[in-house]
Amino acid sequence: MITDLSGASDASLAMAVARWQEDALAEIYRRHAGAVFGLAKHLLYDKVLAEEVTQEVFVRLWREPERFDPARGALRTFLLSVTHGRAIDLLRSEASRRAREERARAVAEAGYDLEQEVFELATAERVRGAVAKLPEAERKAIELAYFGGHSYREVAAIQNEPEGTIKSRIRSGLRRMERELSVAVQGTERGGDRGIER
Amino acid sequence: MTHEEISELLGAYALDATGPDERDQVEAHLAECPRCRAEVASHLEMAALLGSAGAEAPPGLWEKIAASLGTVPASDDGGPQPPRLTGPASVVPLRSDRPPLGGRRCLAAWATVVVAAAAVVAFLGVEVAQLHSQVTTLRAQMASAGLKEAELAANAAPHRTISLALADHQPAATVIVQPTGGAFWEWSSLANLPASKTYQLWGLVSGRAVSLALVGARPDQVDYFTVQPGTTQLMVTAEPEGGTTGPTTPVVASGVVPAGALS
Repeated sequence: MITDLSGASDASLAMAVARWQEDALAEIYRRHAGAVFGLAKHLLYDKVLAEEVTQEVFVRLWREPERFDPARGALRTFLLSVTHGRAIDLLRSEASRRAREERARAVAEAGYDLEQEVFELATAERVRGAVAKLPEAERKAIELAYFGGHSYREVAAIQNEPEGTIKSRIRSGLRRMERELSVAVQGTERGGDRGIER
Repeated sequence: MTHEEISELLGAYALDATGPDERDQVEAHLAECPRCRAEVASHLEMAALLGSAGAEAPPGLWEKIAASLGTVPASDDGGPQPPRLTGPASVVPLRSDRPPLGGRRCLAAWATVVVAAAAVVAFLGVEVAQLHSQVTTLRAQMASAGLKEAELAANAAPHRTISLALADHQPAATVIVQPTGGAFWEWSSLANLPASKTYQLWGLVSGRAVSLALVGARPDQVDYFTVQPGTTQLMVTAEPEGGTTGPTTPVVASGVVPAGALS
């Protein structure tokens, strides 16, 4: 049993959750609930639904901890991936049609700005820098898909572009972002920083 | 779809921007392609960076979550539940003093079995799920059947359900395991064997097969047995009546025991 929860790694906390250690789940919640709730609320534009998604994400981790594989990525990445998938399911469901229409109207008034969507944690500056370097077409495709909850086919229709082009833009945009962040981390590490943390 | 066609979808897949059919095809491909798995992992990491817009979780939300940890609804997908107990106990634990039947032939067979099991596990995505509502149903059925040992197992929380699957992805059996190692064979869809044969359940411990139980020729019954700590997989083979000390035939069903399932 882990006793020093605050000093434990995410992976060891997840292992403790697999052993039904509830305070380990509480520590994971303390570390990541803000990001999970923030993403859900951002996608759903609905505080109550975002709370439900957040609750579902953490309860699911409790019930199915084996779904998280530390070899495949960080716990935060896993939690946010689950959050995004669940929120998108809700967005696309028939029941949320009205909310989506309202949301679309709000978005149309406010517009997207991926650079402004990025969080203000320690990595924000580097992520923002990487996003800023994306070609406009790639950035827009990622915005519409990830934050807009649109399928790539919908993005293609919105932008009046071939579907294959949108698929390629999303993929190449994500790859470009990774390269940019990798360079940024290497540069920072040379300067003695610890690099990107999540 | 070809590898190249799947590859083009990986970015959209990571952003949940594919259709359901495409998602299924991508996931089937990912199970076999480490290069694409690595690319998706990278895309998901980028998506998580984009999605880490910090916010304060609402006050009281953790208390709601904590309160709900002990109660689990029925299966999320609304799918059919597996069949439950249908008969009296008949699983016979294999005695440890059984004379050895094997030798090099068994070791060679076991090496084949391990490879086959690894392939089964890798390709099937064996589902391992925590047991909650199923136990409630099972407990009631066991009480009526008078299966005291299994009932005792079901009454002591928590449990895990280990799902064993066939090579064609079909569910083959489920085994309920407590952290202490107490376990019982819950249900099975395995075909009946001739009376001269029996299904035998094995645990993989440090690369070695350990016999857990003889399940019988009609594997639709239940009894209590023990899974020792360090067991990483459960496997079923069809063996001669009376069982063997090591698997002599290919694995017919297999499932992973998740880390942390056994204390």
